[in-house]
Amino acid sequence: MSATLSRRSFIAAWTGTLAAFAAACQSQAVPVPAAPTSGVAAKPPAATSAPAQAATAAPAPGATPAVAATSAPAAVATSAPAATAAPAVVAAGGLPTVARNETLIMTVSDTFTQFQDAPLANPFLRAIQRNGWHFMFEPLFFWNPYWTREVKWPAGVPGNEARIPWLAESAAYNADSSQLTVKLRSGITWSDGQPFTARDIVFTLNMLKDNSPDLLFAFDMKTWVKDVTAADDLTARITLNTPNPQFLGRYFSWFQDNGFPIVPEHIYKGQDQKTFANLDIEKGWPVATGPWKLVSATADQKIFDRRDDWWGAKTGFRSLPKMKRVIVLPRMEDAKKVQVMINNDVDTTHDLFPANIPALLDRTDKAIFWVDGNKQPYGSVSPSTIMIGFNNAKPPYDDPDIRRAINHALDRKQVSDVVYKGSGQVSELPFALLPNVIPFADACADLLKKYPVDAPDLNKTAEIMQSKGWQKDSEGFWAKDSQRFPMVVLLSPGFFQDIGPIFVTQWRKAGFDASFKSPTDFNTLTQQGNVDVFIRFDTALFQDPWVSLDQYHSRNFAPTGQDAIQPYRWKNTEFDTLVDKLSQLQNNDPVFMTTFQQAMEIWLRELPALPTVKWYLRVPFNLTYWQGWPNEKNPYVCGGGWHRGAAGLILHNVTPV
Amino acid sequence: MRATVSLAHSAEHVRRREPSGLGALVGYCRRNPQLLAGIVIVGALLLVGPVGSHLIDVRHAQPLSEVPSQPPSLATPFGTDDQGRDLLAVMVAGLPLTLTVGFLAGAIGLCIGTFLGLTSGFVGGVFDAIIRMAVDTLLTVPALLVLIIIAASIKGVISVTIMGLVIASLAWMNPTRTIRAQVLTLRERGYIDLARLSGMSTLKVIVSEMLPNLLPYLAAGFVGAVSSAVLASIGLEALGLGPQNDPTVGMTIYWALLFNALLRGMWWWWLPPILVVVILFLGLLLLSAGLDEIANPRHRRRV
Repeated sequence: MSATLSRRSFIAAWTGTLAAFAAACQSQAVPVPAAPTSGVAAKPPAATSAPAQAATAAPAPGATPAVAATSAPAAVATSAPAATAAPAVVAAGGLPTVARNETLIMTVSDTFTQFQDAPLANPFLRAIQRNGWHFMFEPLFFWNPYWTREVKWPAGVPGNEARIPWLAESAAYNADSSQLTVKLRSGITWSDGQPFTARDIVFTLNMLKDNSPDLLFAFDMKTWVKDVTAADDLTARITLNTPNPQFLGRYFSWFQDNGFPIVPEHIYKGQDQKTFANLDIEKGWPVATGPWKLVSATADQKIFDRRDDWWGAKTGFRSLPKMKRVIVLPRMEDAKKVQVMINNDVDTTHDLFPANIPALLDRTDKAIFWVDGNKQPYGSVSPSTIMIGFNNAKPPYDDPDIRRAINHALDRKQVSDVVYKGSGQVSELPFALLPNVIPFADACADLLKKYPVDAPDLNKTAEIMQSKGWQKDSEGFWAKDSQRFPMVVLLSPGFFQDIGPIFVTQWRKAGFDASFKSPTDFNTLTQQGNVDVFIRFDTALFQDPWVSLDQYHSRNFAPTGQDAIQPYRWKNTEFDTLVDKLSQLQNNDPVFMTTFQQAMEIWLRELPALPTVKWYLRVPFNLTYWQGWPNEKNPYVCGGGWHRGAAGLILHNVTPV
Repeated sequence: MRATVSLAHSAEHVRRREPSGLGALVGYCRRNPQLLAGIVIVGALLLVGPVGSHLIDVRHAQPLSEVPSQPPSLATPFGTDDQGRDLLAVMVAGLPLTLTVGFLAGAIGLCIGTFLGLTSGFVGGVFDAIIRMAVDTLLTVPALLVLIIIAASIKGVISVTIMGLVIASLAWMNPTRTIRAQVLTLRERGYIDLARLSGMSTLKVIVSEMLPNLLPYLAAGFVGAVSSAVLASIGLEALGLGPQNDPTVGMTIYWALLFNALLRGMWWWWLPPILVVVILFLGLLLLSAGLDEIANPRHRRRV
């Protein structure tokens, strides 16, 4: 009997191994319906043929691993149970057929294989992800971090400078930047026909203030907004608690992931704001101003059909987008992203690891990246930076000398060579080097000589550690009182598996007993302070470094166990004062520059976080069905399909091939 | 007369063909080639770690040891991966780790299974009914799914030991069933009744009378538990839920998948772990088939 059981498991093992091998050899079928005829979008067919492409960090397995344990049946993927909840998530009566060359398909968003927020469409809930609301809603303004005076906007895009007025016509501050007046365009309507007015702005801001800190952006609105009124249907007046010339840019000028939308008062009023899902296909929710309506929302895909009664086409603002349907798929593993691009099953994906890009370019000539000619580094400099963050409230990370010792153990050039094959660049400052920020970076040159950041030196590490009482134990790791130096590095899931292990190896060589982990609850752990060291993307930069430095303001602090707005938990009152001063100045004021340098001196001396390498957005676009994607020659946006500052404009600009 | 003579002759014949100790083992292996092959293969794999670590530097199994993404060469016979690990060192360092997880989980599963199987089979009654129901229920649970959920919920970093414990939590059911079934059979044997009648305590009966007769089944159960545990660990690791900081066989597969080694033609990265797993399972199967013969003499192919 035991031999029979073993044979069974042996056969299972063989079958599993061979199936894994065979499936990995084939190109994967993408779970996209060519012509959805029934009301229900396709169930996950990839489950049986994608054993190894499962989520790395999702606790509920999305794909079926072909390897079977003992006699257990393989786990079967199921749609999120909420997809069958009472609000209709799919249009009744089925969806009309749309040809592939009239559909734009993207695989973006935040979780692998399945959306975690299938029944949600409220942009202010913490659980919401970036899978379509971000182009259904439209902003007051768009902003392009890559704009320079030499760049001409493509025909049809309004505006002649970096800020593109969209729902708004103009905005102006008063003399001391304590009041912002926004003038809206006339003729804007919501998707249910109701007019979009300044009262929606008043409602949205007040709703956020009332629900701080439970909704996204609520804490910010409570901090800055004193009062908001509608002078008339098309004019809103926002009065701030303290002057802040960055207010418009940070919240109402969409670029990359920054900014939030205005939501309709007549839909949101009377709902429980902290839990309102805002999704009901039958009722036409979410109601938004953009030319899209959500017709299907399941855990596997979201389908948006073009709404030909869009206000922009009616008023002559802009013609309708050229595609009739947009399908958003959940994120895929890199291997699968490459395959679906080769098969032309999707038109754009999330950015790729640099190592996989030559494999893609070898097999298709329809892929296009930002850099002309698809040369290294392939992508555009991202307004976000990769930072190694410390929990500055947790000993021994509260000691700036220890943080500096840890910094001396890093060799950023080695990381760039190994991970990015030489195409990466070392980053020494906590903000990205966008064109208009370079003068600020240049102003830090002397400070960097005094407090060098890119300074690999294992001897200095040893010197500092020993001066603090740490000794190397028998295995060569720093220890005090037979306790090793605690260093568990958390990686934002889905990212950094290429550089995280490299940093950890460098730290181990320096004597830190470091290890890494990529937990699904990364956000919760870092917000609550259950972390030593973490690697993540910083907030995207705007026109100057203020927003980057503001992350380290101590108002973002909270004791361990409570949610902090930013995970750094660093407190320095001198720094706070300087950053507060910066928030009230115009960035072309000479006092801004000197204040900035003073703040940077403190930051570089204390190093509450470590800059690493520049991040490039290596987003692939597919030229098989659509052209007019943003790139170096045509930089009308910088970003990918998951960015609110890019998706809407990309959809408006691409044309059929 | 002739019958007696032939009986005596055959007894002598048998006696002469039964040397003791190592000679018996070797002789038996000659008649049971599957067992021999299984021992050789599994033994060789077990030796890869200790012997290999003297021949090559296992510290090169960590990233940044060599030039990354290189095909096999004289300096690195198995090539290197994208993060600079020497893949031969990875095999030498990682195979013992994978085997540790397998053997740890298998051993713990077997111990729990033996204890529960013995007591529930021997004691019977309500206790037996409870154990039987628990085992049957848990066997229907999709083990990999549960393991994924457990592994994803672990705070802190998953180490090899923790992996072994996680897998052991669902590895005890089959051994329990097997051992219990055997105990139910053995319980009715004459020598057991005799032992009880002669006043031996239940515990002594179990340990000194039953356990020795169960050894073949325990060995076969151990092999089965180890193979399922290794399979489960590789499955979890390939999904990214294993000890990510250790170069186990499953983690090598994980990195190869993450960096798209198959599409990029980096066969030296994904092929060796697969071959190692296949060889390991071949060895375990042969071992198990060989042990099956010991347990069931009726299956003996040769005399």
